[in-house]
Amino acid sequence: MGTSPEPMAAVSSSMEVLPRPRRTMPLSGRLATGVLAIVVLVAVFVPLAPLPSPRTVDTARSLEPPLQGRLLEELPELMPREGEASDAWIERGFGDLGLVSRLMVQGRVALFGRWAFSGVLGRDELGRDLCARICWGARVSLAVALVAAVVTLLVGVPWGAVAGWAGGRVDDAMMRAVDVLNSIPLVFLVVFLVTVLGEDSIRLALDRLGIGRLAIFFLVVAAVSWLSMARIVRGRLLELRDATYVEAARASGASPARILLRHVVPNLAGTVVVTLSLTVPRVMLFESFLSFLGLGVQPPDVSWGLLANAGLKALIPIDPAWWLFVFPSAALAVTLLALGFLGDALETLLDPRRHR
Amino acid sequence: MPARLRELVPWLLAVALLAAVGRAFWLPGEPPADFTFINGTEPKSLDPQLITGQPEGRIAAALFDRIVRWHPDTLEVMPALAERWEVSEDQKQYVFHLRDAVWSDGEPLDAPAIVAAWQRFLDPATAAEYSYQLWPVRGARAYGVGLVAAGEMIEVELDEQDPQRPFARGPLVRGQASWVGSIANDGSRQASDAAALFGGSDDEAVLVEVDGVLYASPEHPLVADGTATAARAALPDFATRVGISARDQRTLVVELAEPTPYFLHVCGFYPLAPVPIHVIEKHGSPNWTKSENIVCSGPYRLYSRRLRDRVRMVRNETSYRADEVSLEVVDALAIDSGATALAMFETAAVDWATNLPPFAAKLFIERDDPTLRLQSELSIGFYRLNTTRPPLNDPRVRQALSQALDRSTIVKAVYGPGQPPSLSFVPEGMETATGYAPVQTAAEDAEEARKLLAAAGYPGGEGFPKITITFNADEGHQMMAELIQAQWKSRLGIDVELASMEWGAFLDAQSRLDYWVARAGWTADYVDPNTFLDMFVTDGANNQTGFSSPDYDRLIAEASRTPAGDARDAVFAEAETILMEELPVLPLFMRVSKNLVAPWVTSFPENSLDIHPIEAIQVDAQRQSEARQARRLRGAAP
Amino acid sequence: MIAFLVRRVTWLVATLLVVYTVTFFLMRAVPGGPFSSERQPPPEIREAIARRYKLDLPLSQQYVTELTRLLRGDLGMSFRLADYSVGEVIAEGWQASASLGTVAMVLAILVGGAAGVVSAARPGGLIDGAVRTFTMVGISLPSFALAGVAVLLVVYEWRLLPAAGWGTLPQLILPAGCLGAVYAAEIARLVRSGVVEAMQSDWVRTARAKGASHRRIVLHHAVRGAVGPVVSFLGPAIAGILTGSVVVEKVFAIPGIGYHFIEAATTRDYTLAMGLVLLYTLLLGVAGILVDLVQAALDPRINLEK
Repeated sequence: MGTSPEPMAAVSSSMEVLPRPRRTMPLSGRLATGVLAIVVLVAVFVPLAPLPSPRTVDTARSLEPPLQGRLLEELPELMPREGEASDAWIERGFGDLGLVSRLMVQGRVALFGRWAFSGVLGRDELGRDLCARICWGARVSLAVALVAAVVTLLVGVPWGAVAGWAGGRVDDAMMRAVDVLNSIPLVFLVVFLVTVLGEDSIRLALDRLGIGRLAIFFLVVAAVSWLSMARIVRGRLLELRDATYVEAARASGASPARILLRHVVPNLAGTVVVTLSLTVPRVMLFESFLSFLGLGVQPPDVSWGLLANAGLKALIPIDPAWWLFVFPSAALAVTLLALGFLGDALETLLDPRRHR
Repeated sequence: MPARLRELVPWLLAVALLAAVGRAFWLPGEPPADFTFINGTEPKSLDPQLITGQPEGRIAAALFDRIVRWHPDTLEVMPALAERWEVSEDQKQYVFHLRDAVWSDGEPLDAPAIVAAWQRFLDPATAAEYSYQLWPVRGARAYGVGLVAAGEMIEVELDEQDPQRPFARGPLVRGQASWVGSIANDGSRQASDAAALFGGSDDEAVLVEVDGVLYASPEHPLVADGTATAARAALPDFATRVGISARDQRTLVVELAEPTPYFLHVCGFYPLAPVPIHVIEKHGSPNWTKSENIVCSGPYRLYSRRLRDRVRMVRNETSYRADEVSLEVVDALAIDSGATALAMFETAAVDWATNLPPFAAKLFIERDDPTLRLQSELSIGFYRLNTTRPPLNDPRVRQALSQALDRSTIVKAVYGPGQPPSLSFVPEGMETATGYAPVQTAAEDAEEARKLLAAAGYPGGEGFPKITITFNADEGHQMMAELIQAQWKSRLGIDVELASMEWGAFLDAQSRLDYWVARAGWTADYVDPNTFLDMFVTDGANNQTGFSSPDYDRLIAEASRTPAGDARDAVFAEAETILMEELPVLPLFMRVSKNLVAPWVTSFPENSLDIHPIEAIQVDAQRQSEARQARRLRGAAP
Repeated sequence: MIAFLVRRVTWLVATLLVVYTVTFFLMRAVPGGPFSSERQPPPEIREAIARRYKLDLPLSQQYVTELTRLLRGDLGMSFRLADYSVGEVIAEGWQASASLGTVAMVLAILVGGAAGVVSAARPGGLIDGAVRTFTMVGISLPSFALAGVAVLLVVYEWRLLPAAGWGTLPQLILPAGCLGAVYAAEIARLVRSGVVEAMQSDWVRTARAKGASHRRIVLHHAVRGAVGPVVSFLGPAIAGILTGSVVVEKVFAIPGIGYHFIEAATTRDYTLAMGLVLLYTLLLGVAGILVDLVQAALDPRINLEK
């Protein structure tokens, strides 16, 4: 992931008398928000949906193309076996779920019993339903992005803000740290973190703290994603510090807190939101890149990157199982597109100097 | 910035850009070879003594001849550098009569050259990973370990350089070591039992005294002040203590420590190929492997090598086998992505691919595709069980784990039809090859497995700790682990986790016994049950399970002393019975080698070690060029 | 300007030292080593290997020895590619990576730049909409997806180009295209936004008032405004493309150094990994310095001494 330094803006003094920036989001932005809302809803409510389990293996139905067989049927895996504890059954079919998800799964059993839409998007080589895997994979992919966004906000913004506001030596030192971190090729860092944190002893220790393998992966990705936010925030803060209205406020005797709240934060917020909307797609692409290298999310957990890569391997010249590649990639692409359009729209709204 | 400079910059940029683009299009194209194959990975080295992998072995076997070689189909021992040989009654002495062979630079490949080559192979300074293959030779192991003790005949290599042969061994001083030890600052001597002197970290403090002269490594302080003579190494005396010698120019004599029946076979293994010492002495290692320096003895010699692209070999006219070779120019491509390999194969860019994506493998098998050549290998896929961790230390638990598995369903699901499950550790193919009938472990029996588990104290799986199956990140291993996890859960009621690890970390964890259950595989180095069974002696380097049985150790040692025949087979059978009852390993399936071979390849030898000597391959050049033009493998006119 | 160069070069050297230290300990801390193998040789041989490659020395001693060797300019021998020195590996791989990267980048600049300019000439128009959508898709697709689809169509279906390999012009087209596509999309976006912004600046309005034609305005004035952001994006992008086109190199079997990066890390090839890390850091640093210099050259308002 590289950095994208700010473009050099040719600021015209007459900008300030240009017409007001838009106050409503353009159509593309609204559509994008709609799409993203759907994705998030799917990710959140999939335990409630009448879909097969994403983990149950059924080798007899290996590589079933989409829309084959009965599309609505009863599947034995969707209820516990004789004498099987509910918790054990949930873990077998869906993995380690939180309380709310568990309740939703049990709710689904109450509502739909064993009925589910099966094989709508086809099945993979182990007979697992692709639609279910994509929906459950959304959780992981979005979670990765969310964790990265949160870390970026909590670490990158303060880091850049402090550096920019303080200036001088402090700024130099903090930015050099960012530079050095940027220079260490990501790959080594990731390999190191993934293997060391995957080591048995450390893994057990983290497990006790409640940090599972997936969480470790999230942290790894987040650890490398805050750097460009720090740099952008710092740049913006430097500009703001010297902006005329801030000087005016200072000259008229306003306290630093007031300056911060009234002038700096609103202007900064715009940049932060826009940069965040750029960071999230980058992180999701990075996750799929890691999967390509074999260092990404590990089975039985499933993510879009993992599915897209597995699908890529299915694109052999004879009889390709195209659905395994097309649908996960489409999910990824559509989400990223939506994020991109949303970012554009937000920029139009919140960053009036950066007309797009 | 000064204005003048500023104006220049756009022009500089333009020039730089043009230069870069021009340079970029200057591509190093080459005429196509007669035969191109995908070797699976960039070879670690072209030096046969420094390699251990199959891709490296393919190239080394083509470039360097050995004393004997293996028949391309039956793997029987055939003459190579040695025309004929005699084995003594006690099977401990081999006398090889060599043919009049030369290196590709004309130098004679005679017995003294082979002795020198094998000395380098065993020399601890070379650090050849496979040098233990020569350890059946008398004194070889001691030489390879490199320890010297007082009272022994040793050879000391002085730290002197001959400008003509800058990388040769220094002059040797041979004699009896009168004292070995270290000298403190105050001059007091401290003798030690056995020590190594060859320039490692703590070896630098060691001194050796021969015939009244002290020898130490060049960094030792006593060398600086002249009390000791600088020496690079002190080793057991090769000439008298190691059983490899040249009786004359064309006769090589090898003495073994025990009657090792498979030794003749091992002589055909590529790490034992003689290397051109005269070239190594001139250019040093690894520079001697560069195409402008290297000298070969096999049916092929090196023409060029481009890293991560290809190794190009051409027919070696000085080889006595030159007339048998039909392919003049052969390229070995270093492509490790299965998908790319398949793409190149399907577009007729290569004639043989050794790796393919598992997805495609299953598909091809199901469709009976003629380009996919399957051959059952003397190779086994299995799980290691860490016998030092409870509850896996209880053999009943291990038996239960084994008997609960429906191996054929699992293997079929992962690898498709055609890959046989295995209940024995030594693959069944060994029987056809040597007559030894492998011993199997108890067959699948879920009921019995449950009983065993209950007897061990975990009825219905209750109270059984959560164990983990560890494997290196790979789809096939992943699938197999998931299926086994599901079967153990449903049949035994135990919970098993899966851990996919990165390759280096995975190997490391296994060697440190930091695992519960680990996926593993083993391929025969030579055609003999010993290559599988001697892994599990106590503290064996490839044991890695904590398994230790004095009976087993005794049997394996006995087998190495017994001449080949029914008696030896019986000893092995007894040992394998112990192994299959104790089950420190769960045999799963016999590996089947998969090779994609183009339809115009008219001769492609196949055997159970997945060795396809390049010199024995032939193609129909007409069909090949047609296919290459059309970029199409299938639909090429027959 | 001299002061600027001195300052930046000093920082670069300091960064290299820090990167060396961090990478050194990172690699040694990860389990496994350059000689991990599925077939374990007996312990005596493993000791001989450790001794020969000085892996049995205490870490601090290894650190110092390696550092002194590096300062002499000797990058050492690769562990995994035992016949080659690290310098030789880099030199051989560099050619292919540089070729591929240059062609990809040139394509990206030409295609992306043209698309950006055309779309910015009439913002909100049909072409603009089309270009914007395409570029969005371009940066939303993972590169391996693009490469996979490209291979499926171009190589298998249409049999137009060879599947993989390096050395002839047809083998260069597909990988360069896949690699450049993503950058083309980014450049198109940057150029478009830069041109649109420049079009609203004072001097463009003046030119328009003076009656200059739309085409002239776009080509002469607005493009100038676009060059800045593209140049600053190019700096790190070039370093990245030259060393990091891992996906493309793997899929199309290009013998470049991007693949060596990953391999060195996963096979614990200490020397090669270190050599590549330092190379990458050096490239990034130099690219950054050059970019700043070029930006200063193109825009007289920039003061390097600040």
